[in-house]
Amino acid sequence: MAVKAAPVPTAVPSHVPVEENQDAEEIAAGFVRGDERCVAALYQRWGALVHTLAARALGDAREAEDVTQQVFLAAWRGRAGYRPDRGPLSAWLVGITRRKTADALTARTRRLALAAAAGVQGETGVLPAHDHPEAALDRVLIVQELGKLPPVQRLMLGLAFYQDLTQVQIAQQTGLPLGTVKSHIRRGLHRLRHTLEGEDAPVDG
Amino acid sequence: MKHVDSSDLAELALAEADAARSGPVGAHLHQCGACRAHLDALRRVVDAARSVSPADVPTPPPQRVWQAISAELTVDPGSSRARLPHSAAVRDTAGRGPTGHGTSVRRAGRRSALLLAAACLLVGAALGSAATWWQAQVQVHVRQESSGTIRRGAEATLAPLAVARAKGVAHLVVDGSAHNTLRISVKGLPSTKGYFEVWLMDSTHKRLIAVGVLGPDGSATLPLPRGVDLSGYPVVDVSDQAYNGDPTHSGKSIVRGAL
Repeated sequence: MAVKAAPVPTAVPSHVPVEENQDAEEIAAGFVRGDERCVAALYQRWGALVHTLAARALGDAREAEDVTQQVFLAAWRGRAGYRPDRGPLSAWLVGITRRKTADALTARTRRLALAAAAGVQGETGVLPAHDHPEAALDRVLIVQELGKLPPVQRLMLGLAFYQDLTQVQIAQQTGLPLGTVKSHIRRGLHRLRHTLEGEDAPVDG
Repeated sequence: MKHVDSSDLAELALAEADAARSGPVGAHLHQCGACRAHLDALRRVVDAARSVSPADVPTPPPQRVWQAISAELTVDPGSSRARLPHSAAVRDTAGRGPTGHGTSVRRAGRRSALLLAAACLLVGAALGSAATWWQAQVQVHVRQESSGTIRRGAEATLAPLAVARAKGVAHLVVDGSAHNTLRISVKGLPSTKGYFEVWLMDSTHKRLIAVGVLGPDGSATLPLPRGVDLSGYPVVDVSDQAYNGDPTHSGKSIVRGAL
């Protein structure tokens, strides 16, 4: 079915990401200075993302909690390795999450191998990854970032992703010029791509 | 042939996989690694977006995770709920203009309430496939943005107090959610070295709630605190505030009117 597009919002959304960035910069600055309270702020802001990334990639709630804990402690202890010029603190945290998740999967494989070698029939609580972990990480990151896009971009991308509309059809449905639609989709896709690729894995801390 | 236009690559990434194999574009992609890598990167985004499910929506870990982290640090376990204590000061030194501690804290509270509301809508509404998830997004979006479903509530004409030519209008926007919004627009504002803050007041002008600041064009759309009894705060007031860090009303009201 066709979704009737809302009128183009111009006034509402644009200030939100800016304030969010300012807030993130404050947290990053305090974190780099070694202000422990910023760990709390960091956790409050990114705890859900880190936890869900781990949970979806590992498919195990208990392990995801362990990894979440490890990520924030590793971030704190390795804060000297954070380079603000190489990307936002959130991307750095995602990089740590990727590594800790991969470590957890490796450890699980090792436990399975040990259990098999010892002739144990299926160590309790040891699960194979329920999914391609990389694809799971991508999905969580996309959901997170879609929610942060300006509403017009989110709407354009949604029509393209989920309604399978071409850019020409989106222009017809929304009444926006084709060039505007193309530019929103190009920029939205670029930002999502950057989110998936943008993390720098930190030096271990 | 020159490289494929990035909008065309976007269209290809969104289309069926074999769409990129034909014509001059297909021929170029066959021989150009850069364009192929670009297309693959966009396809990764599209594939991930089309396979999301409600379980991919970020949800906070249980409280015990923070307790375990804070046990390893020396921070107070309660502080994950606290905002940055020095956020206003940090903002000052970062050169983005002092906003005053009170303003900063109020803004932070409003923002997190909005984020929370957005997260609840996502989690509550999403039940099935990626398309279902998206339908829920669209419904939320349409409800928020379409003027047809938003009820225009009480309106206040704002009469001048400090300068005769200043006047404005404010009206409540009731969209069915718990968060009402105040839309306000003021013309003829005097020049200021500070900023214009919007207040809700009781009829004696003694009890006040600061709801936000006017934009550079003299207008703003401001979310109102959840649960505030507007009958107890029927007056809308705009004040000229100095950048002195004092979160209280300056006493310099520019316009005022009753909802």
